[in-house]
Amino acid sequence: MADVLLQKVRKNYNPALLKDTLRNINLDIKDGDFIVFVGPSGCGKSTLLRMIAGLEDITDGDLMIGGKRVNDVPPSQRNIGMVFQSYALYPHMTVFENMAFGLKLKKMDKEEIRRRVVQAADVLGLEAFLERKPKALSGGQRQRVAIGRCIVQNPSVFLFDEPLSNLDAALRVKMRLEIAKLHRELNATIIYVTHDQVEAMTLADKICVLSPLAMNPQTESNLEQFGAPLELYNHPVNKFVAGFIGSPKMNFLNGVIESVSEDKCVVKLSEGELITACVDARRAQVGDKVTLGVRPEHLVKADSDKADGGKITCKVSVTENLGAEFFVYMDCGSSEVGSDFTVKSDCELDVRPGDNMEVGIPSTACYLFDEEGKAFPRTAVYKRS
Amino acid sequence: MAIVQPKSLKYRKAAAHVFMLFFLCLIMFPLLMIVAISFRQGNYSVGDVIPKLSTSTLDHWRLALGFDVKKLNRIPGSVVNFVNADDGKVQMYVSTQEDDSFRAFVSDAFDPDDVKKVESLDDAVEVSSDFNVEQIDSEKLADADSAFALCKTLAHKIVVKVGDGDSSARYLIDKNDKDGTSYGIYKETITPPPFPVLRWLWNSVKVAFITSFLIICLSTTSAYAFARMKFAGKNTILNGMLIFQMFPAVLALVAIYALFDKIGEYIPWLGLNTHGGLILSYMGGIALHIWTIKGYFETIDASLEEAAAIDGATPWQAFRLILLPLSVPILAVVFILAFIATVAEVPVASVLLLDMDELTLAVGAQQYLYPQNYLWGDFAAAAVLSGLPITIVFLLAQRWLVGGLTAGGVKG
Repeated sequence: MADVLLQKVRKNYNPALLKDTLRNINLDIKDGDFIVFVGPSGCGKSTLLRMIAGLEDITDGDLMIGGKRVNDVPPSQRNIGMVFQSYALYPHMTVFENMAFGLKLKKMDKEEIRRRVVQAADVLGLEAFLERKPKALSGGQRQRVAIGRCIVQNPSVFLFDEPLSNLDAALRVKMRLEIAKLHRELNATIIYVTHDQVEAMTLADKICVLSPLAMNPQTESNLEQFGAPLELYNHPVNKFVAGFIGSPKMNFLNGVIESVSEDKCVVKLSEGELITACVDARRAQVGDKVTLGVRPEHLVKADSDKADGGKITCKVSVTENLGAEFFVYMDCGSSEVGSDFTVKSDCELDVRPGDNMEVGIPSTACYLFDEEGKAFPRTAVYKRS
Repeated sequence: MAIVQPKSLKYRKAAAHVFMLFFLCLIMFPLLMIVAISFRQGNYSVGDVIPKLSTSTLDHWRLALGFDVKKLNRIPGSVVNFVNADDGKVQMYVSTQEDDSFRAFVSDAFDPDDVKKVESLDDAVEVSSDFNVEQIDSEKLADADSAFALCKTLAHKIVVKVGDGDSSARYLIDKNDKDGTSYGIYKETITPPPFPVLRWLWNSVKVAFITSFLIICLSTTSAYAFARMKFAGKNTILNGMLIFQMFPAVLALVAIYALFDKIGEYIPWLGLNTHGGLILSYMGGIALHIWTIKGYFETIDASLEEAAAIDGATPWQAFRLILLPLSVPILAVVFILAFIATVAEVPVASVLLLDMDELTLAVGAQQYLYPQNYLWGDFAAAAVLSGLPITIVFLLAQRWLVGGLTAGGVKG
């Protein structure tokens, strides 16, 4: 078991072009933590994981595992185990041979190898498949073999590169729970890359949000925020994190600051509505351009007493009824991104495409971002029900 | 094929089958032809496509496989006389005007009872005669008739051996001669194999095996580098190799000759007229194999080797333990291709190899075809023989030509 520490890590695949993939990444991962890297495609989350694994070299900065600088240490000596998105099982070997491969290379005693493999197979429920080839296994079983191949090595850090993305929805839920269970049992440091919100929110002790540098080449670092899942959900440091964490995406509305107080701020949207937000915006001036953020699941009915922040009226374009949830997609003139405005409701709403619908915004559910996208501190957190 | 097809497809399919069968026959025809020629009597390129059993012969094959061919040639104008000798034995007087190899000979006295057992040339009781006589004493022939009658009733064939050792010749004296009036005399002519065909075959097999093996070793390792490693000028080298391969080796024959002449001065076993030199020259033609194997390597997910690296494998171990076992089908294909190319290669081998005993079969077989005398039959037998190792290698390699080796390793 070991801490993982990244200091000012930079990655540049093609030094001639001066285009960094990762810049100034500082992470302090404590022993036993379950860390999840999330970010849109191309943000370098897999690259970061591969750098920790030693499959990519580090252009700049230091990587410490267990207090030792391992920048120049080959993967096999970093005491890590990695599960690949594609499983990467050795197709010509049986499950047993797959799991024993690394131990055999280490010239370990045969009895010890057998003991370890059987033990790992026991944990993962693979005893019945030890003599099978990967070809004869289902996706979930293959993924478990890939995990088992890590476990037998007894690594101090587990690296998972989108391990569940190839599985179907039901299996994904099952394997997610198994990975959570495994983390509890092994109590190992796990670093996990995913683009799945649910995996990130449910599995992680801490989430690391990365943004693609190509989107904003001049930025100091593309590590946007590193923190506990709910902290990211409730207190995102900027608009990028706010927009990335949560599904469906947060609604963003353009506006200007109308008035500011210690724990409240009134924003005038571009369509003229006044919205009160529980945000400390005292570092901004009245009249500054801001973006108001509100999550689809926090919107309420216009006549609800929770709608103390204000109301907006939009035209419904599409509705989706999932049974347990009800989505309304609307055209909103104030909206920053195109004209999308999404409402998520627990109960069915009586609206049709083409109707105008009035939506209430609770003041405590509002997020506010300045022109650079930096968040103003929230003074209250919205509690549902 | 679950796609629903229109009805007309059936006829088009049938037509395509007919065409394919016709085409198959067309391309199989030369092979059938050359097999037929190898069983035909004489060295002619024309004749029956399917030789008749009565007229077919194994002579070409005997020569190719290193056996002597024995033939009986009738000696025209010969006279046989049998003369009574002491103890009821018989002597044979043979004379001829037309064969220069002997004018006449008198055999030792022999018992006519022994002669009757003679059935064929090889298990004959030989009545040897180690002297030639210029003239036959006419007095001896006085008593000839009774002896002739005796022999005629007993013996069908009599074999006479004249001379000793290498210079000896056997003659068959056959009373069942077509003429019926006299005994026919046939001289046995022995044709030794003119060329060491089996030796050539062995040379071909040896060179082809070593070449293919070395080509596999070289091309897999370089293909691995091209498929997996990043280095400057990779694409230039890859394309360059392909372009250089487009010039036939024939164009460089002079250069190759001079080069190996020079190499031979320093490393004799790689010089001219050595199989080492020939193999070395064949190693130059691996660009296409590199491309082939590289293409296959690229279909194997690189994460397999990354997983191996994390498991503690060195790049060599990842290559040998993970990548190579998965690449067996393409290695088998490349081995077969290289083997066939080497066995069939003529121009370079004909320039580099000089001694009769060092030739490969493809080069050597052409020795049968010299302008004055095209020995088509013997050539055909050697040609069919050269196909043998290829066929065997292909049959052996077939078990490795399996698909789906990489199935299940990664999510497809």
